[in-house]
Amino acid sequence: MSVIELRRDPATGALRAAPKLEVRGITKLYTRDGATLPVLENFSLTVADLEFLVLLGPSGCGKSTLLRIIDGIETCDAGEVILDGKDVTGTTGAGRGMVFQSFELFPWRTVLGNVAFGLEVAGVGAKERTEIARNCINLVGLSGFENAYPHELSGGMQQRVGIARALAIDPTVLLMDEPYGALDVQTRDLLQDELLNIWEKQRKTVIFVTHSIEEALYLADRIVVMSPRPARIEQVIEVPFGRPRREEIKSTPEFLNLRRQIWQSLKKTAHV
Amino acid sequence: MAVQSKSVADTLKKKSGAGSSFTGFAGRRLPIDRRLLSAASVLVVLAIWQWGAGHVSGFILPAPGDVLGRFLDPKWLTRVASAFGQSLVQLGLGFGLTLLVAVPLGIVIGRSRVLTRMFEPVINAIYAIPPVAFVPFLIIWFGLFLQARVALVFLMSVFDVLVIMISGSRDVRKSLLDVGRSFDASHSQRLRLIVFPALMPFLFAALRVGSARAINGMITAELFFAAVNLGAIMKRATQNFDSATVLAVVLLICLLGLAAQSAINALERHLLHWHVRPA
Amino acid sequence: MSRLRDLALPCLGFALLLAAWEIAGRVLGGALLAPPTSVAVQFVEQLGRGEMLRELSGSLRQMAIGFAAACVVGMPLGALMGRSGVADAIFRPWVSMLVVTSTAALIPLFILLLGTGLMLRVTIVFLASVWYITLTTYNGARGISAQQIAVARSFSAGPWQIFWKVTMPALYPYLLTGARIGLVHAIRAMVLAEMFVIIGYGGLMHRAGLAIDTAPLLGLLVTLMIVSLALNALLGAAGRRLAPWYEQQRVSA
Repeated sequence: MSVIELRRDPATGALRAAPKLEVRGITKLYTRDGATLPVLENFSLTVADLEFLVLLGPSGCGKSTLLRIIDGIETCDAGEVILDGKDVTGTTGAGRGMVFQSFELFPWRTVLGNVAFGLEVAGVGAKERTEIARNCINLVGLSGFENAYPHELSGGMQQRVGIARALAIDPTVLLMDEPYGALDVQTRDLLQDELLNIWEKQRKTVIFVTHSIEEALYLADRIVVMSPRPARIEQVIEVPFGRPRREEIKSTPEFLNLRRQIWQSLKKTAHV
Repeated sequence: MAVQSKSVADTLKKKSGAGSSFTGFAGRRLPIDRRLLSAASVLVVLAIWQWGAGHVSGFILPAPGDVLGRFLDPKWLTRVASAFGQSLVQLGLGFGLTLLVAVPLGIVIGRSRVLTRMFEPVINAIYAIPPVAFVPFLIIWFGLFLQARVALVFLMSVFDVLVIMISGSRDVRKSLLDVGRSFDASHSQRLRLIVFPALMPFLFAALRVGSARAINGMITAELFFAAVNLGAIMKRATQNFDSATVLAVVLLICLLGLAAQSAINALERHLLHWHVRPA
Repeated sequence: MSRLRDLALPCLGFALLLAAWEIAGRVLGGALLAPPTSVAVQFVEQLGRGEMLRELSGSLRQMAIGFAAACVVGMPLGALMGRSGVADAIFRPWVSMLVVTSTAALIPLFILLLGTGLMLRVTIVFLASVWYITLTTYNGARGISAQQIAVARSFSAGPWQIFWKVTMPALYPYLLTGARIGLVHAIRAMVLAEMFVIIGYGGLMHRAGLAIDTAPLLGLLVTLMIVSLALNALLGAAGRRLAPWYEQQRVSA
């Protein structure tokens, strides 16, 4: 069991006392054919306000499960999720917006319809919904595609819609579950830059899950390296690069060194 | 149903199969248009048939010319048209009842794994009984007239629709429902905004299969209970050895079936333009 | 634990059905709906008398002829239509029209043409099932991967070898599904024809329907259901035995 206290404000460097999001003692058991496997065991984590936190780890190490528990769409067997001081364990909505790895757009809705979905569910009026949705669609660079259907869009465009959909409800915390995992490398790189752009313009607390070390180093303020079964925090890395980040840093020696270090540490805990 | 990632592959498949680049055996191109060939096939068979009916003795199939002649006879046509209309009434009642019962029931059963496990085997078992076997039973319960006929149309179509709706309701992707929950949609919102739209393709599949079965039921009913409407015309013609009329009525029912399928397909294309159907 | 549940739930479903049937039967009386208990009694009696089984086997034998003919015609036809654009264009209009034609509507016509003997039943069964077998096979044949055929050609396989070693095995699950769908329609057609002409098993049912007590009729219905399920299961099992490498694919026809 490891507890990490967040201390740094990424903008000013000042100390922050109360975390934005806190995960306390989360335990999740997975039962199959009578055997019980702990996916998460007494897992704790805190996230600072407006921090870009990345959960990094190999596939199957429980990071997606943790994210889903934070979002409330999956239950935990023990522990709490505290957002802004309020216990939101097991409840959905309430300040969290999620972006899914396989996009999960509704095929029967247009881009506009998809982006406005969260607002519609929350009971926002039609005119206001459309306006907010349009803004978000512009923000992700898809203006002009409001009336397109998901099957007409490329993978990268569909994920942009997914991001717009999450942003539309103005969440306190943005949860991103390997959002670029299903895309090719070029699209990935492009979308990473776009995400950073959007984040610079509209700062939010972000929890981003990935298994790509390069992605983690490029995007994060802080990386929590996890190892599986049960999920444990192996390492916490404060990313030293300043913002705004440019693509070039991916080939700097400092970046590559850090990347190698993390890879070495991951290899030790990897299950082949 | 992974609609998104399949769609590109499907579009490509569709494009390569259809159109004027007509490939014959093992991919070799032919200069003839496929539709021309189909039309030719029909005409040739009809021509041989017509000739056979006239010249080969003992050839008992009615000549296509005679069949056509029936359709051109205005008196016959009006008689058949009114009978046809009556037949359609019981079709509408029976199939309407099927949709009313089987669609909601199928959705409800499909959403609950417990209910599905409990009742799917039972439904499959009853489905294994040929519906026409229920006719004597229906006669006991409903007599020989309209109610019995409507009941048979219902019985013949309800299980197909039910099975398809259960299957569709069960297969709504969990991940889409997760999205709903993530955005804090209530149970009824998830039902209305996610389950129902996701079910639409299945509803149309059910309509296609169910309508064909219902039409089957309609004519079966008219032949097995008290013969009325089209069934009566067929029976009388049979007694008079008027095979041309019998075949003409068969043709009419066949056209009804084709028309129903076309209408449903057209409606689907109009309403479900987001749905890419596997070729 | 969940496997027990998987078995227990369907049993519960059947139990509920039987219970509801029993209650309804007692309330409505044997003339309308004989309860399962009296049906069971009658069923044993029917088995003993032998008439039911005799007619059943007779009817099934005739159905088998029609069904076999449908397979023999439908499978190659479907395969041909699937692989050859010419064949598809020629046969498609006929298959499309005939598959939507009501079997019931065909009965009076074929009574006129063939009388009411063996040929009628065989023909009706044939016509009811052959198009479904054809269409299912057709779907399968269309989907045969060009890549697999290319692999065979790269090993210098001739057209006949390709047919037997690539096309047919690839078609196998579709042939099986087509046969099962065809069987369902064959059974339906058999009952249809027999009830219309009042012969065979269908005739038995018709006559039972005229009796006061519904128990014998229901007994015949249940028997038919069991036979139908058993034949389907048999076909499925035979298929799996012959081609264990192939998981049954769900094919829509």
